[in-house]
Amino acid sequence: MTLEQIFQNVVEGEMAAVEAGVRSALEQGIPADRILNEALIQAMAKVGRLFEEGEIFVPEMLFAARAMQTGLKLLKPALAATDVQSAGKVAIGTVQGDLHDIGKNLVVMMLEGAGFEVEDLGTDVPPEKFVQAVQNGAQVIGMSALLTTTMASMLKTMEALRAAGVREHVKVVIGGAPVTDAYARKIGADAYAADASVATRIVRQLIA
Amino acid sequence: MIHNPPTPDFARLEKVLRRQGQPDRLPFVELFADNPIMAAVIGEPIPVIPNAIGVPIDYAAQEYAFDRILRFWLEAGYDYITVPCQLVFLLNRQEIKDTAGEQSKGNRAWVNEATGVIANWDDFERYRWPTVADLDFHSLEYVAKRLPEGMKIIFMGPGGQLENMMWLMGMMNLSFALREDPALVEAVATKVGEMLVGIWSAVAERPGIGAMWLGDDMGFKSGPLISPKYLRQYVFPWQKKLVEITHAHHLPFLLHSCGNLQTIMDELIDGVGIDAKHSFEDVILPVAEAKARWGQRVAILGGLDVDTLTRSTEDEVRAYTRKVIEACAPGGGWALGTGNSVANYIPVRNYLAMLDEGRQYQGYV
Ligand code: B12
Repeated sequence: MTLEQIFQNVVEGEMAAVEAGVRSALEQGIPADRILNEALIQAMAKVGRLFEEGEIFVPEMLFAARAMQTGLKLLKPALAATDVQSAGKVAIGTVQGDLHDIGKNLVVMMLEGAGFEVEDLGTDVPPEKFVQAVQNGAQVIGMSALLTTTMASMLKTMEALRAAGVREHVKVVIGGAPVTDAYARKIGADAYAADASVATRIVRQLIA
Repeated sequence: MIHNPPTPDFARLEKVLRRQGQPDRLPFVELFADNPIMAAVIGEPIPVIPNAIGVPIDYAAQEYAFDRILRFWLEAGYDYITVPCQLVFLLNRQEIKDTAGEQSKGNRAWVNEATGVIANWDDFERYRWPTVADLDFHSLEYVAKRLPEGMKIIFMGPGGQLENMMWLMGMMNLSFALREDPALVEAVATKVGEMLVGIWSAVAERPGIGAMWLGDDMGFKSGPLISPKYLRQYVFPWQKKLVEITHAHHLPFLLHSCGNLQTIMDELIDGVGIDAKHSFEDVILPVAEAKARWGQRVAILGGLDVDTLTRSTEDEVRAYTRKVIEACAPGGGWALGTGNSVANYIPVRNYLAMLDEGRQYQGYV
């Protein structure tokens, strides 16, 4: 199976075909980082574009992400052996008081699909846990919220990052239904992204 | 602040719902207000009475609560009261501490999005599917008897076709099943749809009913949650049946559906046949633009952005409300209200300021 076929199968969310394709590519001796960059990451970038353009929706994105993750899992041992650097380390969570997680999950999947190392902090994440993630080496923090009342926890987290003296070591990006660019500026976050696909571009810019 | 005495007249709102020109004054519209808001407006606590299918109901307590809820709708200036259906489907819920400060409800309940109660055929077979015979209509009966002159009931469904499918299966599970087990999705859609149709038929003919309101969130920030192709397959046909039942009883059909639905509005108006659309957010499409775009074909309801109502000062809310009224009220076909509901984290004074600006509107005299 060619890289082009793996690419197409990820876009279409064909998990079994991606698994078979990655296996056979590895057996043919294609380097893991080429499979990652030319098939999986390219495919997820296309999925992101289709989502942004309204061509595909949440279920199709979940399908593609699952297929990508299946392929990525097979590549991991080989990638570790070849000392390939991830695009960066990101920690993402839904803020305290909030249990909405599909939006956050999509962002996690898209970032993984763009080659980032992502720590999923889960939902109802207190400020201290975000601080800890920075202390553990996260270069970017992502926060998600569904409601204006829980969005207020983003400000609390910003304050906790400052209080812990780690604000300078990390970039912060926020998102979710009520969140806007203006709110990001207001609480001193570095960026806002309207959807999971835009989020990958923004995070890349933040670390560059 | 409050009309004294209140002069409810359902015909006023109905004129908006049927787009028959300008009413005598600007009607107010709301799907619901959270309990602490209603309590603050009438200045008395209102007990929360659990009302789910199969759970024994304390009728005296329910009547006590509805006396107060009715007072809220009347005194705040509405021409109707919404009476919600019982909770029909058992869901996978979790609760955590509410962040709404002094108007807190204690805990906030969330539906688990990853897994619902139905993940596979075994779950489907085991699930105790409710029937219309299991429903209790005491609250509807009681409120109908207590309705003040001029007021009517708008019945509020137990969540919609897509919502109940999403909540029963979990959004993630539903997503995977759409591709991997369409027969299961079809079976769940049919169970949900048949139940909604049963409820609609049982309620639309009851005394005191002035309109039927379906809440069915189909969108999010960037578009519909699932593709229009699937909506056409599993959702629109059932919604259309509900519209037909509603119209057979000569009642207007209101749709509350959140999120960015611009690409499916035509189908909702012409295909499903809704009479009014509710739920708007400024970050998606300000209600004034929605009125300009679809106001000739469907009534547009509410739309004052919940985030703005929550985070603004009272003066800012007044200015914002005036601006929206000036844009939406001319010609009728619009009623004043929030873009979603009076959530408990909206400061009560901001909510009352919005209503007060509505009362002061002189455009219809
Ligand atoms: C589904 C939904 C619900 C469900 C929640 C299910 C659950 N888990 O409990 C139900 C029906 C229960 C519900 C209830 C309520 N809801 Co609601 N709900 C929605 C709805 C329709 C969709 C949310 C969704 O599922 N989105 C799907 C995911 C994929 O999208 P997303 O989260 O936006 O994520 C994307 C982007 O935002 C971004 N993103 C997300 N996170 C992050 C993070 C980072 C770092 C980045 C970069 C990007 C990013 O990427 C994602 C993918 O592209 C929204 C409407 C909307 N505009 O979104 C209203 C909405 C969120 N709800 C609203 C309200 C008011 C309520 C209630 C308070 C109503 C009430 N009075 O009771 C309750 C509160 C719930 C509670 N727990 O108490 C309002 C909130 C307004 C506000 N500013 O506060 C909204 C905006 C609707 C409206 N008309 O205004 N709701």
